[in-house]
Amino acid sequence: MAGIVLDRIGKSFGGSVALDGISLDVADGELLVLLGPSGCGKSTLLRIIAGLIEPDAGRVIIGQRDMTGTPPRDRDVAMVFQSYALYPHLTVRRNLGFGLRARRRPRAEVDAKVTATARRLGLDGLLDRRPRELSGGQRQRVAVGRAMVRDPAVFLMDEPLSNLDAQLRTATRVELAELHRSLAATFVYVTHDQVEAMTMATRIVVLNHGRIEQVGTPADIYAEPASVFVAGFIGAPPMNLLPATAGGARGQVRLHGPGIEATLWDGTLDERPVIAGVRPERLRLVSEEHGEPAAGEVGLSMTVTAVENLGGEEIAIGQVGEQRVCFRGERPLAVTAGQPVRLRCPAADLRLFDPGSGRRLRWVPDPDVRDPDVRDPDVRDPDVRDTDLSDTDVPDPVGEAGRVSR
Amino acid sequence: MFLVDEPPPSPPAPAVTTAARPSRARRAGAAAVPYLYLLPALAGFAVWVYLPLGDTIGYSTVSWNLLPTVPKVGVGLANYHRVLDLPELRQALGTTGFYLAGLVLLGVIVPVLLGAATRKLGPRARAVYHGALFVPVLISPIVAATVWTFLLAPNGGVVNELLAHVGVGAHNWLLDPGTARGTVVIIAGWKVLGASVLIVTAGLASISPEYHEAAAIDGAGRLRTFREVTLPLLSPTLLFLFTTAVLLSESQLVFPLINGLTAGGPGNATTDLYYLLYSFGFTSFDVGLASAAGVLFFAAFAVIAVGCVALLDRFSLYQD
Amino acid sequence: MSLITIDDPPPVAPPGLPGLPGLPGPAAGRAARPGPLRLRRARRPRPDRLTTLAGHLLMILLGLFALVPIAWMVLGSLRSPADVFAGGLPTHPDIANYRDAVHALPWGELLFNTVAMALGVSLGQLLTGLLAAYGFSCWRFRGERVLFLVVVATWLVPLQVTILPNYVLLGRLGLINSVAGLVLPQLSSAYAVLLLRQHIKGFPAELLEAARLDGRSSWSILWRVIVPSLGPALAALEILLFVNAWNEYFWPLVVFNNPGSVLQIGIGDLLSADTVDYGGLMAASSLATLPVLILYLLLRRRVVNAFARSGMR
Repeated sequence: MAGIVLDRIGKSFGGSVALDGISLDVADGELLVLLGPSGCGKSTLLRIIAGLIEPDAGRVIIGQRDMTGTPPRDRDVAMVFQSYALYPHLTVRRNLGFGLRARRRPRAEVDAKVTATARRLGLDGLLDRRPRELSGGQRQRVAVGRAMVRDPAVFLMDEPLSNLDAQLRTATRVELAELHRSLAATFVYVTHDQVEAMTMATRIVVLNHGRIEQVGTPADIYAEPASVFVAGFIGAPPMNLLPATAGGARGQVRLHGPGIEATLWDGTLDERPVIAGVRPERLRLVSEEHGEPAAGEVGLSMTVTAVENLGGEEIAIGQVGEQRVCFRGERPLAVTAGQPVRLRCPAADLRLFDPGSGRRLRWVPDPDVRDPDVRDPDVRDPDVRDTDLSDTDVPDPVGEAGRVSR
Repeated sequence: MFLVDEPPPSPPAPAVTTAARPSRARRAGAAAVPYLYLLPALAGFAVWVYLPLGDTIGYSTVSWNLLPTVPKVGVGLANYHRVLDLPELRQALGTTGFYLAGLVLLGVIVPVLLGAATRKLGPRARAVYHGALFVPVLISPIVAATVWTFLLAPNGGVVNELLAHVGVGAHNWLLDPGTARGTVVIIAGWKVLGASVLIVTAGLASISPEYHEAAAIDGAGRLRTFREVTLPLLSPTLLFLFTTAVLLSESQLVFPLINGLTAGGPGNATTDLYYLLYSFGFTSFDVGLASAAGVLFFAAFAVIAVGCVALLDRFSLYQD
Repeated sequence: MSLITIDDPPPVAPPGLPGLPGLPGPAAGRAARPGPLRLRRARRPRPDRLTTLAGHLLMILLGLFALVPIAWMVLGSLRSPADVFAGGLPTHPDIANYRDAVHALPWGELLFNTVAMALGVSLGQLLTGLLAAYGFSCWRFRGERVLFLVVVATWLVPLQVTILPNYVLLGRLGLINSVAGLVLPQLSSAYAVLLLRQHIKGFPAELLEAARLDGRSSWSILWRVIVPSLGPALAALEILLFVNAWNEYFWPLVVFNNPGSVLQIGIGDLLSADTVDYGGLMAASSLATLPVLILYLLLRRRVVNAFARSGMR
């Protein structure tokens, strides 16, 4: 069992950059998911950890030993491939034992381990079959077994569920998570499926175009996405993202845009464009009688275009201004296509992003009037660059501390 | 009181009108279509391969000398006895075996090693090497014979000149019974190597890299990976090359080479079964003998060939 | 009061490790480190450069082995008879040999026959192979397996076994010593059938289904849908078949018993003459090989690719 440290890993293929300055700590025993769309570099990163690809820059440290340049066989890692890569000419038994035989373990030891692993994964009766005689789910288990039998420090998994049909995928997901718990081993798991990531991971690393967008627990990533990309990638349906303008004099920061109006919180801000994000489940339907949104409330005007029935709940999809927005709630929502509706959510549920860089914006109180008891737990490093767009020379006429956004 | 659900009402019987089926003739015509597409190729095979085969079997039991005016005299199995008693037969058999071994070595085994060796070289360098190796494949066997005769000429040919520089004496490679067969095999290998290396390279490229990655992670060294992973996955290609070497190369490649280089000599040293058949058929005008020899040969050949094909099917692994 | 952009991902340390919230991290954007690392170098083997060099050396030697004889042929053709065996480049390139070669053989007739045969045979094999491959690929019918075996089994019948009856048949048809007699027996090629069947089987089924729904006849589908897509493969196969036919030696040997046959036979005659004029022989050989080499240089990749695919099922 070992932790992994990746130190400024870089890799390019031909002219294009696959990975750019990736630094990561994988704790011993955690299930770390590398999540991202195809082409983001997650499989490349996995193979760099495995030693199948050499990085152009950076170091790979496994179990406190610098393994950069060490061939895969000496790294004590095992890998489960997307297409399983079971040797087609070998029986299940010999497939499972291949790694141990390659390391010249004694016959008795190989047999014992193979039998034990096969029993654990329910492959007992299949030991003398060839891969082409097995179902997809069985093959997947053999692939996992081949990794397990070597008792490695680290398990690497490259989209192991993507070749299974949907039903099998859910069941196997649960099995893999249980396996992780029972083995207490370090798992590095690559997937593009955010449901897998959310349900299985100890922590998730969201990758995009060779860079880390965010690292965090599933809860953190869901609740506090660090960028527009993460917000739009996690969640099904993903977070609603709307262009708007934030700003305000007279002591109140307001938000306005096509179909969206809000008085957010007290403070002063020069007008600037933002992207406002809110999760579909945070929006609630209000009737026509409600007036304008109150202070601390966000109001949306939406025209419903379709309603999807998911059984227990419904998702209503529509337009707010030019943007496609959806909200969800228990059946029945009692809305129909074509109907204009009003939606509300608390300002605390809003997530703001910078339209240029896509990164998350946090509201921090003016340093002069910082409430010493309210500390923003997210601002760790005082050297973080400060794109202070407000006029700090103008004292806050109201004299109140700006509220910290959540 | 329980309420019993009424059974669902049965739908009214639909008014059925049978669609008109195409006439018998039409359907027969449609069924005949695939056969029509096959007809040209199959007709060619029937007339020029299978019918002559039957004729050969027929001729094997007669005595005839090819002249249309002379009648064929039935002689039963006498021709077969004569074939089996031929002194040249045993030697030709041995020579055929020698050629086959050489063709398998130079057409299968060496290309595999070369394919594996060149896999790691850059694709541009590889393309150049393979391009060069392929040129002899395009040269006709007869031109190959002339070129090598020129190179191996005993009094001044390049090969002998070079060997003289190195200290080995000049040698008449093609006229010395001891070296003639080996020389023919090497020239045949020269002609066939490029094609085989190309096919092996394509076969290696078609193996999914994940297998080698899995083997690397599992801890297999280079040799073990080659033996237990690469070769088995390459087996369809290998068996294809093997089958081509055994079934086709001697008939289509070695034959013209022998004809050009040595005409079967010196003293039948380079004559294999194919050449023997040809010289019986065309130089001795003994139709019965030649045909009997042909039938015997074909029977033995067919057994070996079917064996190869069965092997091909059994050992072919399909990566799914 | 400001909206701050967080440029780097918030450094969230893994649960259970020291260096957590409240303390400033070592640098912006780095994940927290679990204390000082003791790093030990692991093994770094590097044998690859030597093997790569050896590989290149081997291939260069083999490349030379392959090309030098051809080069020697051309060089030899340019030498005067006196020093035809001399080493190095010819001091006075002399085309006298070419003149001799041209006189020694009836080139017009040989060339015409060879071209006619090569074109006729290659196009014929392509056509019959295409039709047969189409039939095998796109229909299920009775006896399909048997008929396929019949095609493949032709490889089991060596030419040398069937020459006599073929000769007799050609004689009866009056085709001895004629190009038609060369082309006719070679119009079917199992290789062409197999290769094209491979290609047509790989053709996307949906395109064919769409064409059938459009009401096209099978003939029309073949020529309007399949053949246009198969263009490069057909061209490559045609080149291979052409080269094969150009180099064909056996059938001309059987069909022709007078000197005006095809190039290969002509060269064979020169080679088996009592006194061999090597210079002229090399010139003749170079001329006979020239068209094929030109084709190769122009269309190298196509030819090579088509050939390489034949080893795959």
